[in-house]
Amino acid sequence: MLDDQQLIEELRARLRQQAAGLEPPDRLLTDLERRHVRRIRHTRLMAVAASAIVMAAVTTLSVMAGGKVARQAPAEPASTTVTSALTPTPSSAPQTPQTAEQLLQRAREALVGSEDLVVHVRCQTRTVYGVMRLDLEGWVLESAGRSRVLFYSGTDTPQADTVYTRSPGGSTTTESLDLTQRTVATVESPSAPYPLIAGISLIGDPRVLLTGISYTTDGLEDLNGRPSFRLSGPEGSHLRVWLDAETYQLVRVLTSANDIAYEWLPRNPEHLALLEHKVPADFKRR
Amino acid sequence: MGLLGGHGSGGSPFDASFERFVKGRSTALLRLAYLLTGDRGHAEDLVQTTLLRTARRWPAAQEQPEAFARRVLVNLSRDRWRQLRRRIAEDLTADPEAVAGVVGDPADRALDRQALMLALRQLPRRQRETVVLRFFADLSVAETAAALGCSQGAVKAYTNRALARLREVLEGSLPIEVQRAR
Repeated sequence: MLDDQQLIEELRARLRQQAAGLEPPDRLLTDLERRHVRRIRHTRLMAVAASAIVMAAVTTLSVMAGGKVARQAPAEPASTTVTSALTPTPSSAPQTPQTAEQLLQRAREALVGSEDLVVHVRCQTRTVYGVMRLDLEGWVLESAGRSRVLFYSGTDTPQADTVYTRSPGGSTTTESLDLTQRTVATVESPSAPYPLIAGISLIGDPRVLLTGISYTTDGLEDLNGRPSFRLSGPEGSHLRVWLDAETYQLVRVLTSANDIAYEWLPRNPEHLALLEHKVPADFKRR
Repeated sequence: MGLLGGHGSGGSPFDASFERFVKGRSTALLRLAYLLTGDRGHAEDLVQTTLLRTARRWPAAQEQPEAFARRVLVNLSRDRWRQLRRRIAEDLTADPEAVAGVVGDPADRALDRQALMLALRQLPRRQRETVVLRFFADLSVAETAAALGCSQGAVKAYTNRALARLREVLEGSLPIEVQRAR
């Protein structure tokens, strides 16, 4: 048996061996500069979005007080109409040109009307080497106050499986299965003041992306076999959003760091089952 | 000189002293992050975020930049752990010959490394952080307490508990001849 000092020396040696050979990339400083510049741009973008939200709130209060509503122009003018330059327009896709703001308005309406659909979300995150890794996958049914998230953390199989259930009384029960440790834990806490979908998407509430940001339209694009409108964020940003050409639902968001896909599924027994998990009998409760 | 002193190399927005810090200490920070998270990809992300936050607070951080960056790194690794629940230890794919002073069968060494990383992951967060800071980064009890934001007494307690848990892993994987020789 090792004495304490021998144990410490063995541990020290093993830790050094474990980390040996790890070096940051030569372009680390370049990457830091790029992220710094992006952050400055993002901060400005969010400031524009925040001011637009404030304007919308003021307008709403004005309406409630019986005032007239002046149509609010976006902070920067929406520019091009939709063209079909990217792919031939399928017969099911709308033919009449639409501005970016018109598309966004329809997308916001589609989001409001989707509370009784099961939303499937897949979030990938870009590593510093540009590789996309699956971080999490989830399903949400806002009308039932229920969501489920599988945490992959860049691996091929989920590491954790968590179900969130909101009660009408304002609390959320979280049941989390640790699939590697084979344990289960249940916690109750006050519900967060945002939709469930904000908690499982790495960009938060997707409604924020559909309001107050100036987009240009890039035309129709085939996304997983369905025609979608592609919109690009302000110049210099990496933001891209895709809206289903038939339903105007948000189907994909691409930023410099994340690639998030949304799938809107009808509420039926098959899709409701995706919001559930079973606690295996051999799992220990924490 | 502040963060945006712009006196770094080639028009960089960073201060030259910050750039020197990055060049000199980023390897150590990356290895620390890897041992804390068990995942190389996330360790790289954490180090970048740590360095950016350090850069933004450079006027305050530059007196003791390494201690500042370590504190940020530890906090960020906790945030990541809470958000994404779990990491798995990444198999080291480095050529065993590239690791100086290692002897023995490559397969056994790989298994030993996996066993240690798994054991580290299974430690409670504070014990894992203590082990990595004290025995990899070679920080004193006082420096470890500062990095973790706890008392020195707590660091000693975490150390003892962690060693007790790791003893089985470390002793069990040593060749029997080495154990007898000790």
